[in-house]
Amino acid sequence: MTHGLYLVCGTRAYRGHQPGTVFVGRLDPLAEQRAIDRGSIELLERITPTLPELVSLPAGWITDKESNG
Amino acid sequence: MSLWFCVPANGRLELTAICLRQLRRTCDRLTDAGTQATAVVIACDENLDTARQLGFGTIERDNRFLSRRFNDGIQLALDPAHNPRPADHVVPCGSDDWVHPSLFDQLPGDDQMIGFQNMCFVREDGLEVTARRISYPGGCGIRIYPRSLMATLGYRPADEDRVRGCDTSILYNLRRANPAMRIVELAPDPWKIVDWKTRGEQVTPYDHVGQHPPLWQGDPFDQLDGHWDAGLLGEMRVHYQRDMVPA
Repeated sequence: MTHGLYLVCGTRAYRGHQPGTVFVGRLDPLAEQRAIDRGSIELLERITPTLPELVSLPAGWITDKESNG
Repeated sequence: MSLWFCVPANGRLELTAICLRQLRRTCDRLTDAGTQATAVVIACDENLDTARQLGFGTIERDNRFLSRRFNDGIQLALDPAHNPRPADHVVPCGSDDWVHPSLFDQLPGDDQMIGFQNMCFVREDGLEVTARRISYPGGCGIRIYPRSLMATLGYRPADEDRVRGCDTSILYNLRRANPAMRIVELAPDPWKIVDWKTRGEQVTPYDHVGQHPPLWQGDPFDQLDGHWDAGLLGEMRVHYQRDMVPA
């Protein structure tokens, strides 16, 4: 999925995000371009959102798999 | 068949612990009946300790965007890149909900999701429960999704930047990506989904359910007695009584 990391520019909030804040969104391409053109947001980078580092599976989930084939 | 519950949690440690213990019971009942069931808790506080003690998976994520937490849980449940044994179904669930195992007697096919129209809400003071019929498309409370649908959105179906309306975001995005998706709406006994409201910050206060047609109401511990584990109901009663004592 194509997402963007955006910086809210100017003095107005964008999609509920305050000026100066950064957010991750999946914007319609035309809406994104319009917002960039009028200076509402800046696309910092294209990203693929994913899990954070600190993740653990439920106890026994992999063991159960092995035992259940 | 396998099923994961995805439970973002924030604060409300005692109430969440009681609800997670009930969820453990629900998972165990489902597993005993042939559906391997478990949960993942997404939090950044002591709720993670409770989750680990109960054998649930955990994800440590800040509470800035609730939707991102749901996406995290759904991705860990279903994405083979992160889970060597991805679940067949996933259920986003509130940390203040009780869900009865019989709700999962029917699971959705690859192009379906299942929603529930009836549920009940316990008032913030714990002195009243009201059962309501929720006529939103897809119902409310909890929904059951198959892995196949979530795969079309990279297992992260909600907009990443929402602090509320996450269930609506998931459903909207899935329908847009899967025009043939069918919504199956069931109307179980409302006591089978209990939303325990608490004072303080919450996404949907008790007052907001008044717009939906009432089915019945009364004392929560009388109405729910006999349907749920007596020990957990007792713990919940004590929790509300303690919460009512002025500081």
